[in-house]
Amino acid sequence: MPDAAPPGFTPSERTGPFIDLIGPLHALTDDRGIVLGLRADQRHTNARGFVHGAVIAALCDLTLGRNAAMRTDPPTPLVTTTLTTDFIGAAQAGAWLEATATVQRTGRRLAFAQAVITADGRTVAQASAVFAVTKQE
Amino acid sequence: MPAAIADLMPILRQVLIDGTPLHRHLSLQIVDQDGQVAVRLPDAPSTKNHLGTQGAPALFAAGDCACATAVIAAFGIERVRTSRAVVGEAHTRFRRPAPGAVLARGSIVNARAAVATFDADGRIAMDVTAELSAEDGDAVGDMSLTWHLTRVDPTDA
Repeated sequence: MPDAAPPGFTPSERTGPFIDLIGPLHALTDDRGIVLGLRADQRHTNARGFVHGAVIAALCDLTLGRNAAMRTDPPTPLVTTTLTTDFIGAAQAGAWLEATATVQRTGRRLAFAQAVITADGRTVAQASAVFAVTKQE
Repeated sequence: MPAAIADLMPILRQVLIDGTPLHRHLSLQIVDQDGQVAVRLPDAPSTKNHLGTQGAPALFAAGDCACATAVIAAFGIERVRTSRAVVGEAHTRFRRPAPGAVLARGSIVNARAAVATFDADGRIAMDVTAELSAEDGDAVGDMSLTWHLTRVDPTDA
């Protein structure tokens, strides 16, 4: 089994029940923003042995949401309203999945962002999402 | 339970639960809901988001699994087993929070015509949809997947 994460990534400090379920999730912040990564394993596969689309979608959703939320100070609380994912290629267990996001706008009511997911450096999906701003806690 | 669904349930569970590690990991269930096949996402803390409602990724998985039940129900397991199935695009709308268990039901518009096209051409690209609802029936979201099903030549290595 390859190392859990490439150099520079550290275990994500922000966690939650679902991340605990599919993780560990790793994070890196650089000029691309918050980059999230996950080492795919057997838990993440579909009936054909490839990484399940829902795992790709999960990584998209988490990366898009975190980058859109952190666009403001303090962070804006968001909830996903739409997620569109184009599956470009397949990934197998053992692959390093990495997601980067570009945030178009985080406004008072909505946020918009796009993401690209790679598996061992090869693009396997692109996604866009719209988030609704939830009540400030 | 109608006979057709009773026959289908073991196959769906074998392929989509027993044979799909992620679905087992998320504890998805395939259930008979009023005579229709549905995928049940249980009310469990592990699939919830920071608001305490079902998270988008878990809802995605349930909807995706429901779409697969619709494809297997329409095409039959033998056609699916001898084909390459690829999902090209997924569009998911999350309409309202789902604090409890969720049911996902998949369907194919004009499934009979889709099967006829596949039988004639050996391939088809089709939209498969899923409705996501709370167990009380309130809609919580929907998704649409573009499935590409291509018959595989058994002589191909």
